Amino acid sequence: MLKALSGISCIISLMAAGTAFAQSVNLTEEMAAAKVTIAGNTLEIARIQDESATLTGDFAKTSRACPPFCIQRMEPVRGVGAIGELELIAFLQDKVANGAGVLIDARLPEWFAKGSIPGAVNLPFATLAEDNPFRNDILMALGAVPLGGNTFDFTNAVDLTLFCNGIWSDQALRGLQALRQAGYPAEKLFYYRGGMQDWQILGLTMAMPPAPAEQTAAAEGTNP
Amino acid sequence: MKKAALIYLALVLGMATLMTGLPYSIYRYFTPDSPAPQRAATPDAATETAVAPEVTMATSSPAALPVVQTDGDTAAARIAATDPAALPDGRLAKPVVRGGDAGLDRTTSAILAELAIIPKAELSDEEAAMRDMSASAITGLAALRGETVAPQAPTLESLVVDALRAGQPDAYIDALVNEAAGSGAISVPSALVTSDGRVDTAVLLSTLVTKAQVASGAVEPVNPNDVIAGGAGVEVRVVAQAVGDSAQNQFYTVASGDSLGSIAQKFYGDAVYFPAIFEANRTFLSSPDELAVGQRLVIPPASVL
Repeated sequence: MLKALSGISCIISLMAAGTAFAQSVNLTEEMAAAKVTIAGNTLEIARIQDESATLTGDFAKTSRACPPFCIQRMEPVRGVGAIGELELIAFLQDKVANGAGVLIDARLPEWFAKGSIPGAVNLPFATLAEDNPFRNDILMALGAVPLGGNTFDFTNAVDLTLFCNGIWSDQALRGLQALRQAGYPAEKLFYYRGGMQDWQILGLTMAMPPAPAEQTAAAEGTNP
Repeated sequence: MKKAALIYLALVLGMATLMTGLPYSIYRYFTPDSPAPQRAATPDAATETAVAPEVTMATSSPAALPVVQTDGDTAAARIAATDPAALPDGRLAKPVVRGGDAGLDRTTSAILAELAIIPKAELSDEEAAMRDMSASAITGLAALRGETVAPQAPTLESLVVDALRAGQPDAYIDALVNEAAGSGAISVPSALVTSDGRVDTAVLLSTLVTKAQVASGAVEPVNPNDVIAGGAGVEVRVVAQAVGDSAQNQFYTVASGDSLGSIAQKFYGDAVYFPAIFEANRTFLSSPDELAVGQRLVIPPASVL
């Protein structure tokens, strides 16, 4: 809760600064920025306005070893289609804002802590595997109704969009596979294939979760 | 006129009693009683049954445990205090289970550690990470709905710890745990789910007792090779493999009230050995909680454990 709140506050302060001057880097021709309100907190998603900005560090790499860092398919799990940034933003506005969807960062917590997509919840792929003793508790938190044993009624389970570091990472894929194996319907699952790398190459707003020690005080926003 | 007033008074009093005093009794009235657990007290009962060569169908049935009348009011109240949002409508045919072979062992260790009977074991890094990641995910999901996770949502472990601390009888713990599991408020290790969809608290409690006794040095751990199972459903076949060489194959027919944990306890002296039986019967058991009355299980020899 606090994590989410401070992540949100960070984006708000970022955007307050961003709107103070004329904007030249928009999301689309019609849309300068997108707003989404989740549980009373309004997030804004926009792009870095510095036109000379480039990626540095980890996400500037081109040649990770494959395996394990291999190119992912557009439909890595049958019936689960890939979406892009605009569909993801629409998912936040149409589904997540209404409590009908969850944007899932399937990476491990140390990656999530370095920055994620605003509104995302960290649900590491490993927690969705059947051998996690708490897996079923997570399914129930997603709206699955237990029928006993390992079976669930997913009729009222929320739509999920999973992402990880990007097209060279299989963590979202593993999360999707685990969800399908648990019985989560394919039509409720979406795959943001571009992941954090594509998100950042477009200079889109990053949410910075606070470090665990700072959980009591909502951290002020920092521009990644 | 006087008669009508008396009848009215009796009705009102009856209603009041029903509504305030006896919710659990009412529940029990409308819910068919589950059969009393039928379980041999291993290894005592087991040693009484000699295993003959060739096919032996033991017929002696262990005495059924008496069904103790429980005061369920406290149980009902405790369950009612759980987060109603987490409760689905209607009762479950069987409890929500937790995956992973280590579930039962982890549960008993956690309970005994909480009761300070064994030292608090450090979770492996992987287990601790899994617990923390799951908890943080569930908190994050609740935050999306503007909710906070109830900090003291009951777990199987917390219910049993509290009941044991309060010195509650076994039958109370059975009612308490099964109430919570039946409403989906807690999840349980799959090895504790019986063939009739209840939580096998008898195996959980006896495993706790044995583990506590072993920890205190009062008894030696049971050697699975020394356990000779007997009783209803046990079948031993000696198959000649070569001249002078024979192998003993054991089978067990699942009865009402059996869990994979109770069967492992019967054959190996400790419920934690259930994965061996599960693995040997995977062709028709997709999960340890899928036991059905009448199923015939292959029981691997204790030497494979």
